[in-house]
Amino acid sequence: MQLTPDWRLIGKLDHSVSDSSLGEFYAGGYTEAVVGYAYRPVRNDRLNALVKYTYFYNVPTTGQVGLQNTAAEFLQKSHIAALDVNYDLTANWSLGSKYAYRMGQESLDRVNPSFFDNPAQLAVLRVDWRFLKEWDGLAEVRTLNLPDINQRRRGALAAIYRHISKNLKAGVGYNFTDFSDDLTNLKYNHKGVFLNLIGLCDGRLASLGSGHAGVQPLFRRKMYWYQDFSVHFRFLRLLSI
Amino acid sequence: MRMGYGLTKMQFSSAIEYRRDNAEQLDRTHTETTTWLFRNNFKFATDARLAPYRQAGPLGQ
Repeated sequence: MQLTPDWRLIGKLDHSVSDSSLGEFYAGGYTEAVVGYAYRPVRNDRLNALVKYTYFYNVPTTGQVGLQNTAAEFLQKSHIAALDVNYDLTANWSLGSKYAYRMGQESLDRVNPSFFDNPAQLAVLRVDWRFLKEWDGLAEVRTLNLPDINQRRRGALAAIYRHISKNLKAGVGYNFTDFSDDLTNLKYNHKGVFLNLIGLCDGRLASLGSGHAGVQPLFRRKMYWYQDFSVHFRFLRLLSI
Repeated sequence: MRMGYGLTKMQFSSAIEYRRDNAEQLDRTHTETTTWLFRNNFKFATDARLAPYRQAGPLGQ
């Protein structure tokens, strides 16, 4: 596949193994492999798209294991494909959408895993509004379809962000749904207030790309926010600790 | 240990973590746990002037 200036390729591979002197029952494992292909046309910076494939394999450690060899968290093997598209309607309004499909298998028994299918489809529609000088707001509607158990969950999410500096913005929001838009996350405890911190990293990449610290004119056209690093806090989780 | 490498069009970073636990049990025996963690990230763009894409996902939370 030929890469053009409009495209960008990203990849991630996290792998962990844990062995115990007590035997395999107490061992754990984790693999997350991600390949993404991002599309941002050079001549039309209103459009941004990202196609992403994720392979996820997780064997929870015994610290998360309950009685009778069953895990507090599912053993999980998943293939997840996702498509994200964002389009800037005007300087202050953007539309976004996300569709993801999980071809997943789970098991509760870690000694003799008996995997069962757990596919899922996620669809998200989002609108972003940049108001005043340093404020952003967003609203989303989400639906999660779990065909094997004939279940469909719907809801919304809203958040407001304040630009703290040129490279950092912080926000607070409320998730009215109990599921995550990360399909590797099988928990339904996401409802509630959350804090989010998002960093902007264009300067770093500009200096790497151009060979000098000056920012190319292309960067000046528009300020883009990335979730190169993003910190999430959910009050419900903090309270439960 | 963490390391990274950046070229005009490409960035690569990698990290390795090693952890060894030796825990004494109630019966005074010891259990040992060894954990390795490998993290790798890769980015490639054909036009170095391009700003990185604005990540459309994860959307919100």
